[in-house]
Amino acid sequence: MSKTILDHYLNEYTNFVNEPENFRKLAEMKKLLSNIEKIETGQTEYEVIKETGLFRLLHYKSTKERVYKYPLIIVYALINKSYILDLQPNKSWIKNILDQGINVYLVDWKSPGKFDKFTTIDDYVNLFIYDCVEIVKSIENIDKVSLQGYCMGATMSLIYTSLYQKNVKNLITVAPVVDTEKDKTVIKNMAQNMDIDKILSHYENFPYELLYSCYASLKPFKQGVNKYLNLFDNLKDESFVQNFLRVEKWLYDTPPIAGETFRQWIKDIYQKNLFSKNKLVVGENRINLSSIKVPLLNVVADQDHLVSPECSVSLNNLVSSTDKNLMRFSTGHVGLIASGYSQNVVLPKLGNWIKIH
Amino acid sequence: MQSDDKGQNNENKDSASVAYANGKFVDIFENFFKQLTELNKISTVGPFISMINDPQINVNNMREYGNVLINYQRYLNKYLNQMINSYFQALEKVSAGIDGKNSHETRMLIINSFEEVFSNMFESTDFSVNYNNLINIYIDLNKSYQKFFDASLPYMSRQSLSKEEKDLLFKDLYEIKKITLEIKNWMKEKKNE
Repeated sequence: MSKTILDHYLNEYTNFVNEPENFRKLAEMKKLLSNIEKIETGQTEYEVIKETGLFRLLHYKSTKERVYKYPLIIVYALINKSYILDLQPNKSWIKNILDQGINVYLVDWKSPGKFDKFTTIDDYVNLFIYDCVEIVKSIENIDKVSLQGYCMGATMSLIYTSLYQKNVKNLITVAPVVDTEKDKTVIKNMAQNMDIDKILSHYENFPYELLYSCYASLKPFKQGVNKYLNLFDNLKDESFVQNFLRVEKWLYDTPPIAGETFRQWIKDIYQKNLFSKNKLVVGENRINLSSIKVPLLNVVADQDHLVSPECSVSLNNLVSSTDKNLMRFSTGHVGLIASGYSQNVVLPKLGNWIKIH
Repeated sequence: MQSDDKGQNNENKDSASVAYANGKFVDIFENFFKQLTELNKISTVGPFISMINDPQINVNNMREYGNVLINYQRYLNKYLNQMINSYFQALEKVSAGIDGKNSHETRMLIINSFEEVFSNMFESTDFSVNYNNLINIYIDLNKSYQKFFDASLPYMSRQSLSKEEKDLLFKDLYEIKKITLEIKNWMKEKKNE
Protein backbone atom coordinates (compact mmCIF):
# COMPACT_ATOMS: atom_id res chain seq x y z
CA MET A 1 0.00 0.00 0.00
CA SER A 2 1.48 3.34 -0.97
CA LYS A 3 2.23 5.99 1.62
CA THR A 4 -0.47 8.33 0.29
CA ILE A 5 -3.27 5.78 0.71
CA LEU A 6 -1.95 4.82 4.13
CA ASP A 7 -1.83 8.50 5.06
CA HIS A 8 -5.41 8.90 3.94
CA TYR A 9 -6.59 5.88 5.95
CA LEU A 10 -4.73 7.04 9.07
CA ASN A 11 -6.05 10.55 8.69
CA GLU A 12 -9.66 9.36 8.26
CA TYR A 13 -9.30 6.94 11.16
CA THR A 14 -7.91 9.62 13.47
CA ASN A 15 -10.67 12.04 12.53
CA PHE A 16 -13.25 9.31 13.11
CA VAL A 17 -12.10 8.21 16.57
CA ASN A 18 -11.63 11.81 17.73
CA GLU A 19 -15.34 12.43 17.27
CA PRO A 20 -17.39 10.60 19.97
CA GLU A 21 -20.61 11.28 18.03
CA ASN A 22 -19.40 8.80 15.38
CA PHE A 23 -19.51 5.91 17.86
CA ARG A 24 -23.06 6.83 18.84
CA LYS A 25 -24.00 6.89 15.16
CA LEU A 26 -22.41 3.48 14.58
CA ALA A 27 -24.35 2.02 17.51
CA GLU A 28 -27.56 3.52 16.13
CA MET A 29 -26.87 2.07 12.69
CA LYS A 30 -26.27 -1.36 14.19
CA LYS A 31 -29.54 -1.14 16.12
CA LEU A 32 -31.51 -0.01 13.06
CA LEU A 33 -30.11 -2.75 10.84
CA SER A 34 -30.60 -5.50 13.41
CA ASN A 35 -34.28 -4.55 13.81
CA ILE A 36 -34.94 -4.38 10.10
CA GLU A 37 -37.50 -7.21 10.26
CA LYS A 38 -39.85 -4.94 12.18
CA ILE A 39 -39.97 -2.21 9.57
CA GLU A 40 -43.42 -1.88 7.97
CA THR A 41 -43.98 -2.24 4.23
CA GLY A 42 -47.00 -2.73 2.02
CA GLN A 43 -49.38 -0.22 3.57
CA THR A 44 -52.06 -0.01 0.89
CA GLU A 45 -55.17 -1.88 2.03
CA TYR A 46 -56.08 -5.06 0.16
CA GLU A 47 -58.32 -8.09 0.27
CA VAL A 48 -57.00 -11.62 -0.28
CA ILE A 49 -59.17 -13.06 -3.04
CA LYS A 50 -57.47 -16.44 -3.24
CA GLU A 51 -54.59 -18.10 -1.44
CA THR A 52 -52.86 -21.39 -2.30
CA GLY A 53 -49.51 -22.86 -1.28
CA LEU A 54 -47.68 -20.88 -3.96
CA PHE A 55 -49.59 -17.68 -4.59
CA ARG A 56 -52.06 -15.13 -3.30
CA LEU A 57 -54.35 -13.04 -5.47
CA LEU A 58 -54.74 -9.61 -3.84
CA HIS A 59 -57.32 -6.95 -4.68
CA TYR A 60 -56.33 -3.43 -3.62
CA LYS A 61 -58.94 -1.09 -2.21
CA SER A 62 -59.35 2.42 -3.50
CA THR A 63 -61.65 5.33 -2.76
CA LYS A 64 -60.89 6.98 -6.09
CA GLU A 65 -63.42 6.96 -8.89
CA ARG A 66 -62.61 4.29 -11.48
CA VAL A 67 -61.89 5.85 -14.85
CA TYR A 68 -60.80 2.67 -16.65
CA LYS A 69 -63.14 -0.21 -17.35
CA TYR A 70 -60.65 -3.08 -17.32
CA PRO A 71 -58.97 -4.32 -14.13
CA LEU A 72 -55.17 -4.37 -14.10
CA ILE A 73 -53.51 -7.60 -12.93
CA ILE A 74 -49.88 -7.16 -11.89
CA VAL A 75 -47.72 -10.29 -12.09
CA TYR A 76 -44.71 -9.94 -9.81
CA ALA A 77 -41.34 -11.69 -10.34
CA LEU A 78 -40.25 -14.87 -8.53
CA ILE A 79 -37.24 -13.00 -7.13
CA ASN A 80 -37.67 -11.29 -3.74
CA LYS A 81 -41.09 -10.19 -2.49
CA SER A 82 -43.84 -8.17 -4.13
CA TYR A 83 -44.01 -5.49 -1.41
CA ILE A 84 -41.40 -3.51 -3.38
CA LEU A 85 -44.44 -2.46 -5.44
CA ASP A 86 -46.03 -1.01 -2.30
CA LEU A 87 -42.98 -0.02 -0.29
CA GLN A 88 -44.35 3.09 1.42
CA PRO A 89 -47.23 5.46 0.56
CA ASN A 90 -45.10 8.04 -1.29
CA LYS A 91 -43.20 5.37 -3.23
CA SER A 92 -45.95 2.86 -3.92
CA TRP A 93 -46.34 1.70 -7.51
CA ILE A 94 -49.72 0.18 -6.64
CA LYS A 95 -51.11 3.22 -4.79
CA ASN A 96 -50.09 5.51 -7.63
CA ILE A 97 -51.98 3.39 -10.19
CA LEU A 98 -55.00 3.14 -7.87
CA ASP A 99 -54.99 6.93 -7.46
CA GLN A 100 -55.12 7.27 -11.24
CA GLY A 101 -58.51 5.52 -11.14
CA ILE A 102 -57.39 2.02 -12.18
CA ASN A 103 -58.62 -1.13 -10.45
CA VAL A 104 -55.57 -3.16 -9.31
CA TYR A 105 -55.06 -6.87 -8.57
CA LEU A 106 -51.69 -8.41 -7.70
CA VAL A 107 -50.39 -11.95 -8.16
CA ASP A 108 -48.18 -12.31 -5.08
CA TRP A 109 -45.94 -15.40 -5.27
CA LYS A 110 -45.28 -17.33 -2.06
CA SER A 111 -42.03 -18.99 -1.11
CA PRO A 112 -41.82 -22.57 -2.49
CA GLY A 113 -41.23 -25.38 -0.02
CA LYS A 114 -39.06 -28.43 -0.70
CA PHE A 115 -42.06 -30.37 -1.96
CA ASP A 116 -42.72 -27.62 -4.56
CA LYS A 117 -39.46 -28.41 -6.34
CA PHE A 118 -41.24 -29.89 -9.36
CA THR A 119 -43.32 -26.78 -9.98
CA THR A 120 -42.61 -25.59 -13.52
CA ILE A 121 -42.99 -22.38 -15.54
CA ASP A 122 -45.91 -24.22 -17.14
CA ASP A 123 -47.60 -24.40 -13.71
CA TYR A 124 -46.92 -20.73 -12.96
CA VAL A 125 -48.45 -19.67 -16.28
CA ASN A 126 -51.05 -22.28 -17.19
CA LEU A 127 -52.35 -22.94 -13.69
CA PHE A 128 -51.62 -19.98 -11.41
CA ILE A 129 -51.75 -16.91 -13.69
CA TYR A 130 -54.52 -18.59 -15.67
CA ASP A 131 -56.48 -19.14 -12.45
CA CYS A 132 -55.99 -15.53 -11.31
CA VAL A 133 -57.16 -14.09 -14.63
CA GLU A 134 -60.26 -16.29 -14.62
CA ILE A 135 -61.10 -15.26 -11.05
CA VAL A 136 -60.72 -11.53 -11.84
CA LYS A 137 -62.79 -11.87 -15.00
CA SER A 138 -65.51 -13.59 -13.01
CA ILE A 139 -65.47 -11.04 -10.13
CA GLU A 140 -65.45 -8.01 -12.42
CA ASN A 141 -67.86 -9.65 -14.88
CA ILE A 142 -65.62 -8.77 -17.80
CA ASP A 143 -64.06 -10.75 -20.67
CA LYS A 144 -60.57 -9.20 -20.68
CA VAL A 145 -58.01 -7.83 -18.26
CA SER A 146 -55.12 -5.45 -18.54
CA LEU A 147 -51.95 -7.44 -17.70
CA GLN A 148 -48.70 -6.05 -16.31
CA GLY A 149 -45.58 -8.01 -15.41
CA TYR A 150 -42.32 -6.99 -13.78
CA CYS A 151 -38.96 -8.64 -14.61
CA MET A 152 -39.52 -12.44 -14.52
CA GLY A 153 -43.21 -11.64 -14.07
CA ALA A 154 -43.13 -9.74 -17.38
CA THR A 155 -41.65 -12.79 -19.11
CA MET A 156 -44.38 -14.99 -17.61
CA SER A 157 -47.04 -12.42 -18.64
CA LEU A 158 -45.71 -12.59 -22.20
CA ILE A 159 -45.95 -16.39 -22.15
CA TYR A 160 -49.51 -16.16 -20.81
CA THR A 161 -50.49 -13.57 -23.43
CA SER A 162 -49.11 -15.66 -26.28
CA LEU A 163 -51.34 -18.54 -25.11
CA TYR A 164 -54.51 -16.75 -23.99
CA GLN A 165 -54.65 -13.59 -26.07
CA LYS A 166 -58.42 -13.41 -25.97
CA ASN A 167 -58.23 -12.68 -22.22
CA VAL A 168 -55.80 -9.75 -22.53
CA LYS A 169 -56.97 -6.22 -23.34
CA ASN A 170 -53.44 -4.84 -23.29
CA LEU A 171 -50.03 -5.86 -21.97
CA ILE A 172 -47.46 -3.83 -20.04
CA THR A 173 -44.02 -5.36 -19.61
CA VAL A 174 -41.67 -3.69 -17.13
CA ALA A 175 -37.99 -4.70 -17.53
CA PRO A 176 -38.84 -8.05 -19.19
CA VAL A 177 -36.22 -10.76 -19.71
CA VAL A 178 -36.49 -11.52 -23.43
CA ASP A 179 -33.38 -11.61 -25.63
CA THR A 180 -30.70 -12.88 -23.27
CA GLU A 181 -28.00 -13.02 -25.96
CA LYS A 182 -28.00 -9.23 -25.74
CA ASP A 183 -27.85 -9.21 -21.95
CA LYS A 184 -24.50 -7.90 -20.65
CA THR A 185 -25.16 -8.11 -16.92
CA VAL A 186 -23.25 -10.02 -14.25
CA ILE A 187 -26.39 -12.16 -13.79
CA LYS A 188 -26.21 -13.28 -17.42
CA ASN A 189 -22.45 -13.91 -17.07
CA MET A 190 -23.03 -16.10 -14.00
CA ALA A 191 -26.03 -17.87 -15.58
CA GLN A 192 -24.13 -18.63 -18.78
CA ASN A 193 -21.73 -21.05 -17.06
CA MET A 194 -24.05 -22.30 -14.34
CA ASP A 195 -24.48 -26.08 -14.09
CA ILE A 196 -28.07 -25.90 -12.92
CA ASP A 197 -28.55 -29.68 -13.20
CA LYS A 198 -25.73 -30.21 -10.73
CA ILE A 199 -27.08 -27.60 -8.33
CA LEU A 200 -30.55 -29.14 -8.42
CA SER A 201 -29.11 -32.63 -7.96
CA HIS A 202 -28.21 -31.46 -4.46
CA TYR A 203 -30.75 -28.75 -3.56
CA GLU A 204 -34.53 -29.10 -3.95
CA ASN A 205 -35.05 -25.48 -5.02
CA PHE A 206 -32.54 -22.86 -6.13
CA PRO A 207 -31.23 -21.66 -2.75
CA TYR A 208 -31.45 -18.04 -1.67
CA GLU A 209 -27.78 -18.10 -0.59
CA LEU A 210 -26.72 -18.46 -4.23
CA LEU A 211 -29.05 -15.66 -5.26
CA TYR A 212 -27.50 -13.44 -2.56
CA SER A 213 -24.00 -14.16 -3.77
CA CYS A 214 -25.05 -13.15 -7.27
CA TYR A 215 -26.63 -9.90 -6.01
CA ALA A 216 -23.47 -9.13 -4.03
CA SER A 217 -21.58 -9.00 -7.35
CA LEU A 218 -23.88 -6.31 -8.77
CA LYS A 219 -22.45 -2.83 -8.24
CA PRO A 220 -20.56 -4.14 -5.18
CA PHE A 221 -19.04 -0.83 -4.10
CA LYS A 222 -21.28 1.90 -5.54
CA GLN A 223 -24.32 0.22 -4.01
CA GLY A 224 -22.97 -2.44 -1.70
CA VAL A 225 -20.57 -0.25 0.31
CA ASN A 226 -21.49 3.33 -0.51
CA LYS A 227 -25.09 2.91 0.62
CA TYR A 228 -23.98 2.22 4.22
CA LEU A 229 -21.70 5.28 4.14
CA ASN A 230 -24.69 7.30 2.91
CA LEU A 231 -26.82 5.90 5.73
CA PHE A 232 -24.14 6.92 8.22
CA ASP A 233 -24.10 10.45 6.78
CA ASN A 234 -27.91 10.74 6.76
CA LEU A 235 -28.86 9.19 10.09
CA LYS A 236 -30.66 12.37 11.18
CA ASP A 237 -32.89 12.36 8.10
CA GLU A 238 -35.84 10.22 9.25
CA SER A 239 -37.36 9.94 5.79
CA PHE A 240 -34.03 8.82 4.26
CA VAL A 241 -33.50 6.25 7.01
CA GLN A 242 -37.02 4.78 6.75
CA ASN A 243 -36.75 4.51 2.97
CA PHE A 244 -33.28 2.95 3.25
CA LEU A 245 -34.47 0.34 5.74
CA ARG A 246 -37.49 -0.64 3.66
CA VAL A 247 -35.40 -1.18 0.52
CA GLU A 248 -32.73 -2.97 2.59
CA LYS A 249 -35.34 -5.30 4.07
CA TRP A 250 -36.63 -6.11 0.59
CA LEU A 251 -33.12 -6.72 -0.79
CA TYR A 252 -32.49 -9.48 1.75
CA ASP A 253 -36.00 -10.94 1.70
CA THR A 254 -35.20 -13.53 -0.94
CA PRO A 255 -37.15 -16.78 -1.15
CA PRO A 256 -35.74 -19.80 -3.00
CA ILE A 257 -37.01 -20.44 -6.52
CA ALA A 258 -38.82 -23.69 -7.40
CA GLY A 259 -36.22 -26.11 -8.81
CA GLU A 260 -37.81 -27.09 -12.12
CA THR A 261 -38.85 -23.50 -12.82
CA PHE A 262 -35.32 -22.24 -12.34
CA ARG A 263 -33.85 -25.12 -14.35
CA GLN A 264 -35.87 -24.07 -17.41
CA TRP A 265 -35.26 -20.38 -16.70
CA ILE A 266 -31.47 -20.86 -16.74
CA LYS A 267 -31.14 -23.48 -19.49
CA ASP A 268 -33.80 -22.45 -21.97
CA ILE A 269 -34.07 -18.71 -21.40
CA TYR A 270 -30.56 -17.64 -20.32
CA GLN A 271 -28.24 -20.27 -21.82
CA LYS A 272 -30.08 -21.15 -25.07
CA ASN A 273 -32.09 -17.92 -25.51
CA LEU A 274 -35.07 -20.01 -26.72
CA PHE A 275 -37.69 -17.44 -25.68
CA SER A 276 -36.64 -14.77 -28.15
CA LYS A 277 -36.11 -17.40 -30.85
CA ASN A 278 -39.74 -18.55 -30.48
CA LYS A 279 -38.52 -22.03 -29.52
CA LEU A 280 -39.37 -22.08 -25.81
CA VAL A 281 -41.67 -24.96 -24.90
CA VAL A 282 -43.92 -24.45 -21.88
CA GLY A 283 -45.98 -27.54 -21.02
CA GLU A 284 -47.32 -28.73 -24.35
CA ASN A 285 -47.02 -25.38 -26.11
CA ARG A 286 -44.25 -23.75 -28.08
CA ILE A 287 -44.24 -20.06 -27.24
CA ASN A 288 -44.35 -17.84 -30.28
CA LEU A 289 -43.91 -14.16 -29.44
CA SER A 290 -44.91 -13.15 -32.96
CA SER A 291 -48.41 -14.46 -32.20
CA ILE A 292 -48.92 -11.57 -29.75
CA LYS A 293 -51.15 -8.93 -31.32
CA VAL A 294 -52.56 -7.07 -28.30
CA PRO A 295 -51.47 -3.46 -27.60
CA LEU A 296 -48.08 -3.57 -25.90
CA LEU A 297 -46.24 -1.10 -23.69
CA ASN A 298 -42.64 -2.09 -23.00
CA VAL A 299 -41.08 -0.12 -20.10
CA VAL A 300 -37.28 -0.25 -19.89
CA ALA A 301 -34.69 1.25 -17.52
CA ASP A 302 -31.57 2.48 -19.29
CA GLN A 303 -29.34 1.92 -16.24
CA ASP A 304 -30.74 -1.52 -15.43
CA HIS A 305 -27.88 -3.74 -14.18
CA LEU A 306 -30.08 -6.79 -13.58
CA VAL A 307 -31.71 -6.99 -17.02
CA SER A 308 -29.82 -5.16 -19.78
CA PRO A 309 -32.00 -2.64 -21.62
CA GLU A 310 -31.00 -4.31 -24.92
CA CYS A 311 -32.38 -7.61 -23.58
CA SER A 312 -35.81 -5.99 -22.99
CA VAL A 313 -35.98 -3.60 -25.94
CA SER A 314 -35.82 -6.50 -28.47
CA LEU A 315 -39.36 -7.44 -27.50
CA ASN A 316 -40.89 -4.69 -29.64
CA ASN A 317 -39.38 -6.27 -32.76
CA LEU A 318 -40.58 -9.75 -31.85
CA VAL A 319 -44.32 -9.22 -31.31
CA SER A 320 -46.87 -8.63 -34.09
CA SER A 321 -48.88 -5.95 -32.25
CA THR A 322 -49.58 -2.99 -34.51
CA ASP A 323 -50.02 -0.82 -31.43
CA LYS A 324 -46.73 -1.17 -29.59
CA ASN A 325 -44.82 1.38 -27.55
CA LEU A 326 -41.41 1.49 -25.96
CA MET A 327 -40.76 3.81 -23.03
CA ARG A 328 -37.15 4.14 -21.84
CA PHE A 329 -36.31 5.81 -18.56
CA SER A 330 -33.03 7.01 -17.15
CA THR A 331 -33.05 4.90 -13.98
CA GLY A 332 -32.20 1.42 -12.69
CA HIS A 333 -34.12 -1.86 -12.23
CA VAL A 334 -35.50 -1.01 -8.78
CA GLY A 335 -35.58 2.76 -9.35
CA LEU A 336 -38.01 2.05 -12.18
CA ILE A 337 -40.66 0.78 -9.75
CA ALA A 338 -39.84 2.13 -6.27
CA SER A 339 -38.49 5.67 -6.35
CA GLY A 340 -39.56 9.29 -6.45
CA TYR A 341 -38.56 9.27 -10.13
CA SER A 342 -40.90 6.37 -10.73
CA GLN A 343 -43.78 8.23 -9.02
CA ASN A 344 -43.24 11.51 -10.85
CA VAL A 345 -42.05 10.40 -14.28
CA VAL A 346 -42.74 6.70 -15.01
CA LEU A 347 -46.17 6.09 -13.50
CA PRO A 348 -48.05 9.11 -14.91
CA LYS A 349 -47.00 8.04 -18.44
CA LEU A 350 -47.85 4.39 -17.75
CA GLY A 351 -51.27 5.29 -16.32
CA ASN A 352 -52.10 7.49 -19.30
CA TRP A 353 -51.12 4.72 -21.71
CA ILE A 354 -53.38 2.22 -19.93
CA LYS A 355 -56.32 4.63 -19.96
CA ILE A 356 -56.19 5.23 -23.72
CA HIS A 357 -55.86 1.54 -24.54
CA MET B 1 -16.82 -29.74 -14.26
CA GLN B 2 -16.92 -27.05 -16.92
CA SER B 3 -14.05 -26.13 -19.20
CA ASP B 4 -11.62 -27.71 -16.81
CA ASP B 5 -8.56 -27.96 -19.07
CA LYS B 6 -9.35 -24.66 -20.72
CA GLY B 7 -9.75 -23.15 -17.28
CA GLN B 8 -6.35 -24.46 -16.26
CA ASN B 9 -4.71 -22.96 -19.34
CA ASN B 10 -6.38 -19.64 -18.66
CA GLU B 11 -5.28 -19.94 -15.09
CA ASN B 12 -1.63 -20.17 -16.11
CA LYS B 13 -2.02 -17.37 -18.62
CA ASP B 14 -3.72 -15.19 -15.98
CA SER B 15 -1.03 -15.84 -13.44
CA ALA B 16 1.66 -14.82 -15.88
CA SER B 17 -0.08 -11.64 -16.96
CA VAL B 18 -1.07 -10.41 -13.52
CA ALA B 19 1.64 -8.51 -11.75
CA TYR B 20 0.80 -9.62 -8.22
CA ALA B 21 0.45 -13.38 -8.80
CA ASN B 22 3.61 -15.38 -8.32
CA GLY B 23 3.57 -17.71 -11.32
CA LYS B 24 6.19 -20.03 -9.92
CA PHE B 25 4.26 -20.45 -6.69
CA VAL B 26 1.05 -21.26 -8.59
CA ASP B 27 2.92 -23.89 -10.67
CA ILE B 28 4.41 -25.52 -7.57
CA PHE B 29 1.00 -25.51 -5.91
CA GLU B 30 -0.64 -27.07 -8.98
CA ASN B 31 2.04 -29.77 -9.25
CA PHE B 32 1.74 -30.54 -5.56
CA PHE B 33 -1.98 -31.14 -5.87
CA LYS B 34 -1.57 -33.19 -9.03
CA GLN B 35 0.90 -35.44 -7.24
CA LEU B 36 -1.34 -35.66 -4.22
CA THR B 37 -4.18 -36.77 -6.51
CA GLU B 38 -1.96 -39.50 -7.94
CA LEU B 39 -0.98 -40.54 -4.43
CA ASN B 40 -4.63 -40.89 -3.54
CA LYS B 41 -5.03 -43.48 -6.29
CA ILE B 42 -2.48 -45.76 -4.60
CA SER B 43 -5.12 -46.95 -2.17
CA THR B 44 -6.70 -48.95 -5.05
CA VAL B 45 -3.56 -51.09 -5.70
CA GLY B 46 -1.30 -53.44 -3.73
CA PRO B 47 -1.99 -54.33 -0.09
CA PHE B 48 -4.33 -51.38 0.30
CA ILE B 49 -6.91 -53.11 -1.92
CA SER B 50 -7.94 -55.20 1.08
CA MET B 51 -9.24 -52.09 2.75
CA ILE B 52 -11.84 -51.64 -0.01
CA ASN B 53 -13.31 -54.99 0.90
CA ASP B 54 -13.64 -53.95 4.49
CA PRO B 55 -17.22 -52.78 4.92
CA GLN B 56 -16.29 -50.91 8.07
CA ILE B 57 -14.01 -48.50 6.30
CA ASN B 58 -15.42 -47.06 3.12
CA VAL B 59 -12.15 -46.42 1.35
CA ASN B 60 -13.84 -45.60 -1.93
CA ASN B 61 -15.77 -42.81 -0.28
CA MET B 62 -12.64 -41.58 1.42
CA ARG B 63 -10.63 -41.58 -1.78
CA GLU B 64 -13.39 -39.73 -3.60
CA TYR B 65 -13.63 -37.29 -0.72
CA GLY B 66 -9.87 -36.68 -0.88
CA ASN B 67 -10.02 -35.89 -4.58
CA VAL B 68 -12.98 -33.59 -4.13
CA LEU B 69 -11.18 -31.78 -1.33
CA ILE B 70 -8.11 -31.29 -3.52
CA ASN B 71 -10.19 -29.85 -6.35
CA TYR B 72 -12.07 -27.67 -3.88
CA GLN B 73 -8.76 -26.25 -2.70
CA ARG B 74 -7.72 -25.69 -6.30
CA TYR B 75 -10.83 -23.72 -7.29
CA LEU B 76 -10.91 -21.86 -4.00
CA ASN B 77 -7.28 -20.91 -4.54
CA LYS B 78 -8.06 -19.59 -8.01
CA TYR B 79 -11.10 -17.68 -6.70
CA LEU B 80 -9.06 -16.08 -3.94
CA ASN B 81 -6.29 -15.28 -6.41
CA GLN B 82 -8.78 -13.45 -8.63
CA MET B 83 -10.17 -11.49 -5.66
CA ILE B 84 -6.73 -10.57 -4.31
CA ASN B 85 -5.43 -9.54 -7.73
CA SER B 86 -8.45 -7.29 -8.24
CA TYR B 87 -7.95 -5.80 -4.79
CA PHE B 88 -4.35 -4.87 -5.60
CA GLN B 89 -5.27 -3.53 -9.04
CA ALA B 90 -7.92 -1.31 -7.43
CA LEU B 91 -5.44 -0.10 -4.81
CA GLU B 92 -2.99 0.77 -7.58
CA LYS B 93 -5.70 2.75 -9.35
CA VAL B 94 -6.50 4.65 -6.15
CA SER B 95 -2.83 5.27 -5.48
CA ALA B 96 -2.37 6.76 -8.96
CA GLY B 97 -5.13 9.33 -8.52
CA ILE B 98 -5.17 10.18 -4.82
CA ASP B 99 -2.81 13.17 -4.84
CA GLY B 100 -4.44 16.51 -4.06
CA LYS B 101 -7.89 15.07 -3.36
CA ASN B 102 -9.97 16.04 -0.31
CA SER B 103 -11.71 13.55 1.97
CA HIS B 104 -14.94 13.28 -0.05
CA GLU B 105 -13.12 13.08 -3.39
CA THR B 106 -10.88 10.34 -2.01
CA ARG B 107 -13.88 8.35 -0.82
CA MET B 108 -15.43 8.58 -4.29
CA LEU B 109 -12.10 7.68 -5.93
CA ILE B 110 -11.82 4.57 -3.76
CA ILE B 111 -15.41 3.50 -4.44
CA ASN B 112 -15.22 4.15 -8.18
CA SER B 113 -11.84 2.44 -8.58
CA PHE B 114 -12.91 -0.66 -6.67
CA GLU B 115 -16.24 -0.72 -8.50
CA GLU B 116 -14.57 -0.62 -11.91
CA VAL B 117 -11.96 -3.28 -11.20
CA PHE B 118 -14.29 -5.70 -9.39
CA SER B 119 -17.15 -5.24 -11.89
CA ASN B 120 -14.74 -6.06 -14.73
CA MET B 121 -13.76 -9.19 -12.88
CA PHE B 122 -17.38 -10.25 -12.19
CA GLU B 123 -18.26 -9.67 -15.85
CA SER B 124 -15.37 -11.83 -17.12
CA THR B 125 -15.89 -15.33 -18.49
CA ASP B 126 -12.93 -16.56 -16.47
CA PHE B 127 -14.53 -15.56 -13.19
CA SER B 128 -17.90 -16.97 -14.21
CA VAL B 129 -16.36 -20.36 -15.13
CA ASN B 130 -14.27 -20.58 -11.98
CA TYR B 131 -17.05 -19.40 -9.65
CA ASN B 132 -19.46 -21.95 -11.08
CA ASN B 133 -16.79 -24.66 -10.80
CA LEU B 134 -16.39 -23.67 -7.16
CA ILE B 135 -20.13 -24.04 -6.58
CA ASN B 136 -20.08 -27.44 -8.30
CA ILE B 137 -17.17 -28.71 -6.26
CA TYR B 138 -18.78 -27.41 -3.08
CA ILE B 139 -21.83 -29.49 -3.98
CA ASP B 140 -19.58 -32.53 -4.54
CA LEU B 141 -18.07 -31.91 -1.13
CA ASN B 142 -21.50 -31.88 0.47
CA LYS B 143 -22.43 -35.04 -1.40
CA SER B 144 -19.30 -36.71 -0.02
CA TYR B 145 -20.33 -35.81 3.54
CA GLN B 146 -23.79 -37.16 2.77
CA LYS B 147 -22.26 -40.47 1.60
CA PHE B 148 -20.39 -40.84 4.89
CA PHE B 149 -23.56 -40.04 6.76
CA ASP B 150 -25.64 -42.51 4.72
CA ALA B 151 -22.98 -45.20 5.16
CA SER B 152 -23.03 -44.67 8.92
CA LEU B 153 -26.81 -44.83 9.28
CA PRO B 154 -27.08 -48.64 9.58
CA TYR B 155 -24.56 -48.60 12.45
CA MET B 156 -26.41 -45.79 14.18
CA SER B 157 -29.70 -47.73 13.94
CA ARG B 158 -31.32 -44.74 12.28
CA GLN B 159 -33.55 -44.65 9.23
CA SER B 160 -33.66 -41.85 6.75
CA LEU B 161 -35.01 -41.38 3.24
CA SER B 162 -32.43 -40.98 0.50
CA LYS B 163 -32.57 -37.96 -1.83
CA GLU B 164 -34.04 -40.19 -4.56
CA GLU B 165 -36.75 -41.50 -2.22
CA LYS B 166 -37.61 -37.98 -1.11
CA ASP B 167 -37.79 -36.86 -4.74
CA LEU B 168 -40.24 -39.65 -5.53
CA LEU B 169 -42.40 -38.56 -2.62
CA PHE B 170 -42.23 -34.88 -3.59
CA LYS B 171 -43.03 -35.74 -7.22
CA ASP B 172 -46.16 -37.65 -6.11
CA LEU B 173 -47.22 -34.77 -3.89
CA TYR B 174 -46.67 -32.32 -6.73
CA GLU B 175 -48.73 -34.45 -9.14
CA ILE B 176 -51.58 -34.72 -6.62
CA LYS B 177 -51.61 -30.94 -6.05
CA LYS B 178 -51.47 -30.22 -9.77
CA ILE B 179 -54.28 -32.63 -10.63
CA THR B 180 -56.42 -31.20 -7.80
CA LEU B 181 -55.97 -27.68 -9.15
CA GLU B 182 -56.73 -28.80 -12.70
CA ILE B 183 -59.91 -30.56 -11.55
CA LYS B 184 -60.96 -27.45 -9.61
CA ASN B 185 -60.39 -25.22 -12.65
CA TRP B 186 -62.26 -27.66 -14.88
CA MET B 187 -65.20 -27.78 -12.46
CA LYS B 188 -65.26 -23.98 -12.31
CA GLU B 189 -65.36 -23.77 -16.11
CA LYS B 190 -68.18 -26.32 -16.25
CA LYS B 191 -70.13 -24.36 -13.65
CA ASN B 192 -69.70 -21.14 -15.63
CA GLU B 193 -70.97 -22.85 -18.78
